[in-house]
Amino acid sequence: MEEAEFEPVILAFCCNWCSYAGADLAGTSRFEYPTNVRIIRVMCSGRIDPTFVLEAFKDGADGVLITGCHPGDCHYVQGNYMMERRFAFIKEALRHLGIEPERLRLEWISAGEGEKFAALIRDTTQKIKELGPNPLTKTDAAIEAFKAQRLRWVIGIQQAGLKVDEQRYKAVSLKIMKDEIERQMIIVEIKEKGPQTIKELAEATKISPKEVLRHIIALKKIGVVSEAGEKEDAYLYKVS
Amino acid sequence: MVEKAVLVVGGGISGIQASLDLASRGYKVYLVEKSPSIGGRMAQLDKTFPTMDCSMCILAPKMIDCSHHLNVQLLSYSEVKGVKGSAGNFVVTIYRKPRFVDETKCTGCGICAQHCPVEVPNEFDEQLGTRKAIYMPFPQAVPRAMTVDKVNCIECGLCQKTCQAGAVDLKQQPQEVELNVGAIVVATGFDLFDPAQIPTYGYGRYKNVITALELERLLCASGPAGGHLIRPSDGKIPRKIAFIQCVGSRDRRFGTTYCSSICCKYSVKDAVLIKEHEPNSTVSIFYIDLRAFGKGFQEFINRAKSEYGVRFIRSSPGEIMEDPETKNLIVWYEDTVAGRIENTTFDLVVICPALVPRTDARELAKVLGVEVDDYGFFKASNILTNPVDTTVQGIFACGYCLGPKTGDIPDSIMQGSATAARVAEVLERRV
Amino acid sequence: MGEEAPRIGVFICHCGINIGGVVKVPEVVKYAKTLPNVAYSEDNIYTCSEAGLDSIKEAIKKHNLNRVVVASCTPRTHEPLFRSACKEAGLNQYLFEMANIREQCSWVHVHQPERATKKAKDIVRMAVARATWLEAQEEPELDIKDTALVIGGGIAGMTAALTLADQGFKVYLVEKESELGGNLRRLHKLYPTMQDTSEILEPTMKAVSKNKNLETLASTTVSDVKGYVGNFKVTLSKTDEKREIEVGTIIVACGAMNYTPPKGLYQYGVYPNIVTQLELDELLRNGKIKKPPERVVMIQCVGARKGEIRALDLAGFPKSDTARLLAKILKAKREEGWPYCSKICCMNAIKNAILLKKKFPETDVIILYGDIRVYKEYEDFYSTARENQVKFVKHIEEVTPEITQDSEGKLIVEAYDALVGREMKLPCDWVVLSTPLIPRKEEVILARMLKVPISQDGFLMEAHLKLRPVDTQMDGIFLAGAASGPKDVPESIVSAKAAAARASTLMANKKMRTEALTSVVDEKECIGCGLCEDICSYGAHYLEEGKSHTIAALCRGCGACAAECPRRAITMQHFTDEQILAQVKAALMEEI
Repeated sequence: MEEAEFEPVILAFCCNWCSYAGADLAGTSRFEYPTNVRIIRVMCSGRIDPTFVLEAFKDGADGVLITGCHPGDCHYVQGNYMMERRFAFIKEALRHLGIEPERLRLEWISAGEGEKFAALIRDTTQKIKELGPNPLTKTDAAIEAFKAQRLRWVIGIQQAGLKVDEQRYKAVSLKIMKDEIERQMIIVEIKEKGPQTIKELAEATKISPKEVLRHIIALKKIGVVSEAGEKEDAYLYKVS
Repeated sequence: MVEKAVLVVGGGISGIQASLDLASRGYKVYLVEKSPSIGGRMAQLDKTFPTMDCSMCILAPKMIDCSHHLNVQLLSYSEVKGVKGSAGNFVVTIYRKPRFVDETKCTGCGICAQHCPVEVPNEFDEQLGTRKAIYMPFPQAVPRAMTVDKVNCIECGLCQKTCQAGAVDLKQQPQEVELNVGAIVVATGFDLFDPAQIPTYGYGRYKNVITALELERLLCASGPAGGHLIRPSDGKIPRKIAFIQCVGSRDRRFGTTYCSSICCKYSVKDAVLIKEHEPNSTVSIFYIDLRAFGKGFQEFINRAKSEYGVRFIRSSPGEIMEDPETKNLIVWYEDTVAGRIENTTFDLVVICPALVPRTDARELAKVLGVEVDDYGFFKASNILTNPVDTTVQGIFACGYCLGPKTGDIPDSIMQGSATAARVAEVLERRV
Repeated sequence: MGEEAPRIGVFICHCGINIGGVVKVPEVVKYAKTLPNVAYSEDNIYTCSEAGLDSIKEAIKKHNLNRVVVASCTPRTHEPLFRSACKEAGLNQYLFEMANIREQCSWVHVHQPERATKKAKDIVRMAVARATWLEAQEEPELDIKDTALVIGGGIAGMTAALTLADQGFKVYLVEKESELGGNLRRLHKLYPTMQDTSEILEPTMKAVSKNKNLETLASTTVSDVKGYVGNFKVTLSKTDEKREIEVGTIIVACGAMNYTPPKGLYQYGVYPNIVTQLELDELLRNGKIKKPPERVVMIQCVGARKGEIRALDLAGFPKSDTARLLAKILKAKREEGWPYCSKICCMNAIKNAILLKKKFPETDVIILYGDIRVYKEYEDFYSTARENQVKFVKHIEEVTPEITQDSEGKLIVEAYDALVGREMKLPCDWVVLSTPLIPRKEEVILARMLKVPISQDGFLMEAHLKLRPVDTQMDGIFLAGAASGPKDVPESIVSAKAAAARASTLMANKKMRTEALTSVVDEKECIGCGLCEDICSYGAHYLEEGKSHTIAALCRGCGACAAECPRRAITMQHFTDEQILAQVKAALMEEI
């Protein structure tokens, strides 16, 4: 029996002024490329909230492509730089979730680069084909983490200019992202399966029990979780 | 001209007592405390033996009295940098560390800490709980103001932006203040012996080997575990707990050949507390001698044995090992009564370390020019006749900085009052 | 989404055979009818034709449509056209969405009609999903004050001010010096006519002082600018006094300044008689050169075109010289300087060379150059120079000419002749350095105040290098003269008139419609962290009483604030989270 070849679905966010125009130019010049990409137009790559990318993976996109103006050419001055700084966080988040970070790609395309756009689609489609279908890892925890103030604020402060050195900022901010994603994983787990012990949560989320305990203590402090009975010499935790 | 003002160094219970007595006597008191809040060790405890009062509940009113008393000026987050002069006329230089928050404006509402993105282990909770880079060490802190930990702060400024009182000042500078005082009272307290110095006990390597102070924080309702006793490796409720007495005490290896005098008391107290939390647990105390002197204490031990079923094993354990799977602890000991080598598995091991002099106390002693004894505690000029006088006239000491003769809280308080009396004698021109 | 349920009309275009030849349009029409909230669907041969537009308008009325999707070419061509059609049919133009099934589908999948058809269906489904979430938007109308501010009273500033004042607009002309005139006050003659600067300057200054609509404020600077197009609130400072004015448009004509070399560069400031071209102009104007010099050497590109070491073709040179040359080049210190070509220095040097030759016919005038850049119609000027015996010597620029002084005080210029490949030593009486026009320091301050970016060469940046040379990215603020880059007098005058024209169009219309694409802050969620204020390139956010607000007139709709806001308190109108996520979901759902 013939096995249907895997045809990935790739979502591409294109900025109105440069990359969307570049895609149009590919059309005007009749440069052909595979049919796997679906383009979403935004005014600027700076518009792209990390949650858009994560929702795309949640909904089954096999690959996500973000395109914008070349550095220095952004129609809105620095939107593309902002996207670039966010990008590092989204890539790390994918790594935490067990989604191959190569499924997400950021490229700069100017309005005059029709051929480059077509080549990019060909190349991306091929690469995603090789990676195979989206592992459909649950991204809800990451989506919730990127919606919450703590992580958004930490990502945001680098856009306006850091007051501490970059190394330290990177270490602190990535740790905050990891903590927030792991905490959301715990919350999602409790919400879906009911109150659980630290041992059960550790097994379900693959986070070490020591770290789960640290997260539970922090979540208790802000009133998000609380004890809900005992089971097998441990407390059950519920979402308050 | 004798300055009718007193410097009290250290805001623990004995420093607080001395300050209140002196202030009530009519003297101006400068209470200098190194950390952001007064309260000291007593603030960290859950309950006090043998009455089993909630420690913070009996301490807090005294802390508030200090902050409200018109004669007491509280200089928190500050240190003594220099002393000149003599009894009746000291000139002291105080270094006020910047807390980056204006104490006069901060209401302690805590909104800034809610927004601060940086989370670090909390020293007050012995690293078990967390705090933010802008924090109040505990909810009942005096002064009721936040402090910014600039080391961990990432200077995002959100605290400043969300403060409704405009109290955050990230550009605050340290200050040096000169005080003229007639007498000085030292009440700097103690540190715990670091059990990591005894590698066979595994402290620092095995997560479920903790100190008694860490246990207090876990048992405390306002602590990181909310008063639900859980063990640090995986949050399990411990059912078999061992206490190891005299760790670092009476030990020639570490120069702490003295008996800390309160460890037996607090370990029995903690054992009883655990039994009250978890009646189904088994609690065993490994001891060499049971030094339960003091009022009501023998009765307390008897109750511990008969009513609460605490087991007392006369032995000093040789080694503690960890089961890598369960993270349980296997304690190897010689049962001196039965005359055998035994081992028992426990979920949690609580180490009762010796109380040792603070490392910064030696520095302070040098600055003040007072002598310390061989152990490093402040030396009394005459242990019999002048137990709260230091070797320098006009400088007195109270509380555990004097060493284990201080016993427990009532002793600290008594000594605090005693120094107040001695100060009055100096300031009123009597010897 | 509004009170009533969406009723979406979908119009699929064949675009002749551009789309229809690849994508099976009837299938897509049929598919569109099955999509949620679609009330009507049809196909057109050319939706952008009169017939197509009429069809849309009829359908809106007949089927009570409250949203329209046109699946055809890229929105970047016809979106305004279709939006107008909707508007004419009584439908708010922001309730319109396009699906790009030509440039981004049929034209790039010519050999895959099956897949292209499936893709077209997906694209239509995405557009319908977005349309469901669209909301009507109003384009706010701004009042434009008919008063203008011109910053800078040089020839460009005065020209712009006069052009506007003559049309009846009130103009404030602000000049930081005590006199108007700018660089022209120091210059002597202007190329190519060799007219005296006073012939241009004096009539202009007279016209400025006589014009009743023009208020000249000398010794005054701009210290603060608030507001937006049509409504700028500008604070002017004169010594200690401050004055606030309100203007509708601003023209920046702060000009450029001549680069003065640092002491020691080409021995400037070390030996006497080493001057810049501007200083030579002043000397000639004031008749300061009395004795006819034997020789004058002019060196071009001093402090300009620096920073790159271009490839050298040394093939033609004698071998022995090549080695020495290379060694010298490699050892040569990279001159500090500006990377660009200042355009006017070649002409200026030639002008002064001709003037010198006319005044002192016996003097030998040599211009050392790397490239001679006489552009436009000035080739004749170059010929005139050569006819007047001005010598042009191409030297190897990478080897910085060395200037020494001999025992008799004569200056010696040592350079390498590029065409002959030989070292030359030129004894002379004067060395004239042609230095570029460089941006004034004040430009950085003005740039920040006006939110006009500075380009890589340090000058104020125009909105688009090709298409909008006198506009800036800020509506209502224009550039005239050398503020945006080196210009000679005719160019400055032209740019000033152009800027005045742009400004007057705005002010004559009295009103302006701005983008409906603006951000909106939910004050309940806002915690006043100020991130939006910090990152907005247009200054469109400000904090008041701990909450952020948007100045709609300044917002350009980029959406960065919405993506960054830690509380997700900012909505980007017409590109909301819901609208984008609806497209994401629609793109990835299985075909129903």
